[in-house]
Amino acid sequence: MLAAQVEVGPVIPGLERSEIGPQMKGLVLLEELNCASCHTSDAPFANRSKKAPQLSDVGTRVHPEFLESFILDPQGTKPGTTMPNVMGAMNEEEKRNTTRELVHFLLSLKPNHFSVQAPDSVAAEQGEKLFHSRGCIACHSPRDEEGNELLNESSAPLGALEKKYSVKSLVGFLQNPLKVRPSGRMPNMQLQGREAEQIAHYLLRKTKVPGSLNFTLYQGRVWEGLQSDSVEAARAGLVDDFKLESLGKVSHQTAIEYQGWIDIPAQGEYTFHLKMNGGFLRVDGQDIVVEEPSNRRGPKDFSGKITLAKGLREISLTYFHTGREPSFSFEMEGPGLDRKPIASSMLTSSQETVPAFEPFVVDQDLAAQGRLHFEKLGCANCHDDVGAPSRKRIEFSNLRKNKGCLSSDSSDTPRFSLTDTQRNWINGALKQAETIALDDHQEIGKTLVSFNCIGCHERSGVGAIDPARESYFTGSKPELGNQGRIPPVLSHVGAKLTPEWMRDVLLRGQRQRHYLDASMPQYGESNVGHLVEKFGKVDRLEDVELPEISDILESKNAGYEMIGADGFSCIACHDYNGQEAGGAGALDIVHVTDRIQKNWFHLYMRDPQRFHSTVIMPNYWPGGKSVRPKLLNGDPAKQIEALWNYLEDGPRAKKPRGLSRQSNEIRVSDVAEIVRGRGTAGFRGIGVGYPERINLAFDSEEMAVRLLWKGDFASVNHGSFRVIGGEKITFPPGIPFHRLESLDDDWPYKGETDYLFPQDHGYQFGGYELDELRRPAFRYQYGKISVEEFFEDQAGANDSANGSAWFRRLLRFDTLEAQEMFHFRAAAGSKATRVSDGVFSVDQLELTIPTSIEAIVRDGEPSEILIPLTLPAGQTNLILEYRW
Amino acid sequence: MVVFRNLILFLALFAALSVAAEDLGEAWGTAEAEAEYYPIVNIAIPPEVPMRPGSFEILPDGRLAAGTRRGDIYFIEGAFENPPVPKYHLFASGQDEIFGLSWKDGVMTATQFGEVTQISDLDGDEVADRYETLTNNWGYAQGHEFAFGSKHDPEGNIWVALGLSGSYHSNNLFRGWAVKVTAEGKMIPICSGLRSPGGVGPNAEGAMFCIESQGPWNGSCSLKHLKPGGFLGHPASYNWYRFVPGMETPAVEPNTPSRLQIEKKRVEELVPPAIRFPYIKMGRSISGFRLNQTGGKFGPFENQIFLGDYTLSIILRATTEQVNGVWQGACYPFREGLATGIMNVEFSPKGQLIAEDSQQTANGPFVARSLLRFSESTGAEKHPSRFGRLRSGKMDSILRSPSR
Repeated sequence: MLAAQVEVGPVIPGLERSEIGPQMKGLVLLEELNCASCHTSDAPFANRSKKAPQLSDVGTRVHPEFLESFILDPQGTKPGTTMPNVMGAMNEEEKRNTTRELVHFLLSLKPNHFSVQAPDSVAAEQGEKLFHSRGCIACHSPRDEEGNELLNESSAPLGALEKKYSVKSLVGFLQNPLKVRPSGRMPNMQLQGREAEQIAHYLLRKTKVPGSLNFTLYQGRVWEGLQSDSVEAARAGLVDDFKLESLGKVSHQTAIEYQGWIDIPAQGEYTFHLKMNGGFLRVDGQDIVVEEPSNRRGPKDFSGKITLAKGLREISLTYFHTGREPSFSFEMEGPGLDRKPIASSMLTSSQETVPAFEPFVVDQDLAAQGRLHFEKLGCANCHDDVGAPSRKRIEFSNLRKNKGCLSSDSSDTPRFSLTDTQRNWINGALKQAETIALDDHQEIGKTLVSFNCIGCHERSGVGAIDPARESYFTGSKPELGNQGRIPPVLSHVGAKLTPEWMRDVLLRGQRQRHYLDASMPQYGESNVGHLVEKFGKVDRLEDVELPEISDILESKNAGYEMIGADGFSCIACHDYNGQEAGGAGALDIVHVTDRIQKNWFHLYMRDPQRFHSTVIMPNYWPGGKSVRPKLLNGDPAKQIEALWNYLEDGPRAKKPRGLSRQSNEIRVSDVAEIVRGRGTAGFRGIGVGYPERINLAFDSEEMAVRLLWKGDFASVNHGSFRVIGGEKITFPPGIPFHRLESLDDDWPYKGETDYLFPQDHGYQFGGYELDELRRPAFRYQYGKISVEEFFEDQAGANDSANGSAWFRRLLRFDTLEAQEMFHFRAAAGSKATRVSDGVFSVDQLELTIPTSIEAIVRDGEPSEILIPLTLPAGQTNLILEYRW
Repeated sequence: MVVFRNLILFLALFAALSVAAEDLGEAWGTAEAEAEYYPIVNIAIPPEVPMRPGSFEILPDGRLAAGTRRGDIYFIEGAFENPPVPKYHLFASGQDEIFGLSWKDGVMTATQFGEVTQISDLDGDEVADRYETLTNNWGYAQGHEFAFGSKHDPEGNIWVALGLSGSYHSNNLFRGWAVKVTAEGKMIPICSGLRSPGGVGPNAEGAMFCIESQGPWNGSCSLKHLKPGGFLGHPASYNWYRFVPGMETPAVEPNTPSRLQIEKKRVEELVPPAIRFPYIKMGRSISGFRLNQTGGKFGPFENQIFLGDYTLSIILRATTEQVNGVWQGACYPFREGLATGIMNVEFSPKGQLIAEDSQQTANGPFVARSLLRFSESTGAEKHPSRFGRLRSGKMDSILRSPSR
């Protein structure tokens, strides 16, 4: 007897809607259904076919009961699946036995760690938003509030996930789906932080787990009530009892809603005792204690009585952990019960009995039987990771239309539940599948359909976003219109992006349009890597005749004029070098020349409408005439080229006029940036970011360099700054100059109660003066010596990760009278060594000093490089080099 | 079964009352009447400018200078036109929070947390390139240690009031003191006993004052006279007398609990506040202040002190007088209807009062559009005789008979 079949047909999202022809659709289906795994072929498509999920870990990933029902009836359990039913010829009992043995086999492959976790409704609420905004709904069906799928017939099916996964196993899958499904149809969605967890809690929110109490934990200004705008739910789930410790660390300003049923052992009067700041206790429909919380008082004692009948009685308590020295106790007494906290065993989170998950026990005999089925039924043909031999069937070249799997009524071949349309597509493609040579256009079309790229991106001739899903695409910059929410169009993309940037986006998880809520999924290099080259070959636009630029500086300057507030004011809408634009927040243009091909840049600037009919980017050369006719004689090509030349300098370009200063992160452009305040270099710190992308922090209290680092500079929050970049070299506290009486003496630094230090050592800070690149020369007094220190950033020879730029440190001493020998601590750290003449190292730092100087390497805590200095009257210069 | 209904009712009532008492922006319910005499005009701040000023100055050419908590100094042209047509120019950047600006002889002197700095433009492009430290000889090693600076006094000194290390302790040199910094960079300690001072400046007679915030030893905000050798009430800063040549640690410490008037009899050096501002009714976090010497352009309050409040969104005014060698005075409501965040005030050459408040946005407080505003006297000129009838009740009589 055959089980009732649900005739949905395997769903390949986007396939039906795509604009590729029927034969191409047939080819897509041949690959998506992995026909070549049974029907061997040496044609190229065989290698590109979608692989089935890897099964060696399935016991840890999937609930054993789900596994059983899915094998028994794939299409009934998960309508739309591409998994065929391979037991059509068996009777019901054979099916059940075979299935059971297959499950024992699959679960015998490795130790299984499957377990069930309670869903967190707070995380699920976030997960619901993420599921609908990150791009999941481009392939999977969006859901209504109850979780009903709204577009299931055209969506990649998920089935009843709460029966299949645990939160833990689904999170693991979402974080790296390609590990289990190497063919990348389920891509890596690049979920950040807790996003995978939140989506898992959402998709599994119907999971039932036995427990004692339900809880929801809130944080914020809880004394204002849980409805306050300043209160947020933080987490929810099941907890054993009313003890705060059972919830882990509960911080001040928290409220907890508990709800559950208490098993009353005998009829009688029960008393509840509470110590708390505030809270609401309700038992069996009656208020027992009602006390509004207050942030201004300590905990108080409360009690209340109620007569309860035997059996399950609902109990709910909202407890506010707020006010002075918050503490909480909750006790009950009654007939035969001494006053004490309510035992976990008396509580249940649900009135119905929820069975606990029982780990599956593998029977090795059944597993051995299952292994035989796995081979015989051909499971191993697709699921090729479990070490079972495959059993090939009739060769692909011998396949006939409407025969075997393609027949509508065969029972002894795998049943895919194909729809008539799908069957016709495959029939139509069968003959040419092995011989047809697809051109690049067709290859691109097939890939964009197989991976449903057209679920998010429009490409002419291939397809576009499903209108029914379009409204789910959202973004954070409404000013950008549709471009601010819908992923970019892919028509012409090969003529637009540089191959390197396309590779970055497609294969390395880079992205530029951070305002789009949808992520750019990663499908794996072996699956979609070929697109980079093919787009480049296929997408051709006319070549622009580039203008001759005789004076590159003039051109860059004109670019500078146009970018800024007095020109076209590009930065009014576009972010620039990480600094947010005041208005629209359009994409950051500082690296545009790395991402965009120059030819396309010219074409686009001349007529943005040509590429996006709804673009809000204005045309600055309407009708071929510049809106700034005075610059470069108003020549459009020269002006566009000037913008390009300017932007080509990237972050090093001269900072545009009118650039926003709102961002807390300070970016360095063509000149140095300075920040002051507490932070890395004490309280009187001065941070300097240099144009060569190296930075230092100077402590103007002790007049000493505290930190060198590379890469990004710093962020400020009024009164303080924080270092951003990396490769840090830290120097211990201490003044720069001191006359050591003995080399055994400690180097002086300011202790907490050295109130007059370092003025009592002759120091007085004098500030700094900036050079034309706005780099500071620090000035201070050391006794009778005026000191000026200038750090000059030097470009490095080669390109390492953060560059190999280094500092040349020029010290200039001015004194009216000759000075006796004193020491200069040029560097210090945990280990200082002399490398060669004039070259020393301190940990990661290399220090070069003039070879004429006999420097002292002093071991100790810290280990130091000391330079003895004797100054004649007048000016003396000392030059050191710091590399790291 | 016990239900605590009564208690809930009482609490709810109490909560409602306390909310009403602290309703910011509607301190006296007089905004409408005041607007007739002192309309408030917004000076637009472009979105790319992070404003939040901690101090203002008027440049010799009539431009407004604003020193910000981000550590920038902007020169603003056209701010005083009505309507304003402001153009912002970034003169200096990269400093710590600036709570004092004073322009003299082509140099801008800025008081920031760690030092007094003379900022100047050497190459004439109107962008500062020299930041010369006048002094940094006070201790600064804890987060709450604010520093507020005055304008130059007639001798060219900058007075700086140094907050304690929090409310109770003075852990670093001269915290809780006011010091005077000479043009040569010499730092002269003046008086001890401050807690968390705000603005510093003179009254019409040239005596220097600073604002004190309520907290330990200070029941409410007050205006304190920075009397040389004086002790202004909070004894945490006693520990620095040993670093001041010519000053002795007071022989007696004030008692608590007690009253300043009682303790004044015991502690010889104690200088009680000239004005105490009734808490909440007139000020909760009074910040900066400025003497009105606009020659009558700002109405009838010439030579009076105008003060901003950081949390209550109000402007107050105050008068001082010396009786038996002791400064005393009175305070009056002036203008409400602003938003919170007023750190300082300034008078324009046209006799307008400049302040900046901040509007809280959905993204959190203080980040987005701040409002730089001026308030100018119109009604006072139009209806001088009606001026005293601005308010009703008790305040009315105070207004009718200013102490000066």
